[in-house]
Amino acid sequence: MLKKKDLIIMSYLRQNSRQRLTSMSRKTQMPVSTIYDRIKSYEGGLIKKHTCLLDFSKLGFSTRATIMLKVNRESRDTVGEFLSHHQSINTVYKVNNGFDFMLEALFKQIKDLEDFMEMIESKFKIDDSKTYFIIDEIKRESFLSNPDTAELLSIDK
Amino acid sequence: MLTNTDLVILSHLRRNARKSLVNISKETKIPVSTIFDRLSRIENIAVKKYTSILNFSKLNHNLLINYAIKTIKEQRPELSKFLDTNPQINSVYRINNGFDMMVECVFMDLKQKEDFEDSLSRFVHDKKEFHVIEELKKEGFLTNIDGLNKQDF
Repeated sequence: MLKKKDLIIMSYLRQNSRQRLTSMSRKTQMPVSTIYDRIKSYEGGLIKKHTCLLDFSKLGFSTRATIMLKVNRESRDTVGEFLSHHQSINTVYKVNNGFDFMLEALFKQIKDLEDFMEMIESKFKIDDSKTYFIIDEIKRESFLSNPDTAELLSIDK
Repeated sequence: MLTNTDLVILSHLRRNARKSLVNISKETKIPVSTIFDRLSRIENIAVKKYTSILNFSKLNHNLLINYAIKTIKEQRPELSKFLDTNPQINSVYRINNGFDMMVECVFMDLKQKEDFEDSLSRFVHDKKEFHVIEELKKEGFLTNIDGLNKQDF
């Protein structure tokens, strides 16, 4: 388990990963060098990547959906590999409970999604699928984005 | 509408949001001043927030679960408020096709999950849960613009 200081740094990065170390130093009362070292030591492990979350509709991708897929056992690895490299797929999870994959997919229009589903069904043996269109985003990547909650996860409370 | 240059800058930030403008400039051959100007525009148009994607299991939170939730119309505002304030919740989307919300939660253990489900039960008419066994890709859209149809943007 991480120390409180580390969790506070993580929570500030979750809030804004592009903020300056000097700004984080002011907020946390920790030296810049400490923050730098901690971030570097967690990159590639606890920190998978620093990224920017986009408003996809502003980029013209207004059809956004969560797609559940159940695939033939033999083609599971191939499908996983295919989905991981497909440009319309933002996120892919392997899941349980009647399905194998859960995808977040982005398209310009509904027709593109239909084409994607047709393509994937012709390419692989899909046993079942379910599409949930995302109508609105209420919250995204907010776990541990509040420094106050960081305390709840630490060992040195 | 974003230009090809904007997309190149955006793809660098999607891959690493902490990358300096100087490094983006070195890798793309786009002048720093251009990147600076374009970035303000891109941020206004399309960037919701910069964040770090974490491996929650390294925080001893080994349960990542997505719930598809159906509630009754009258309880939707109360449910939204509950979901908005609960610290275990990572993401919430309004969805269709028989459910109202898709909720991604992070739990330390089964006890925490059970407690959460107990508090959630008063709003829930129907629910399906999907445990994430493995993450194959996360926030990968627009991280590599090679082969993208630029006219789409």
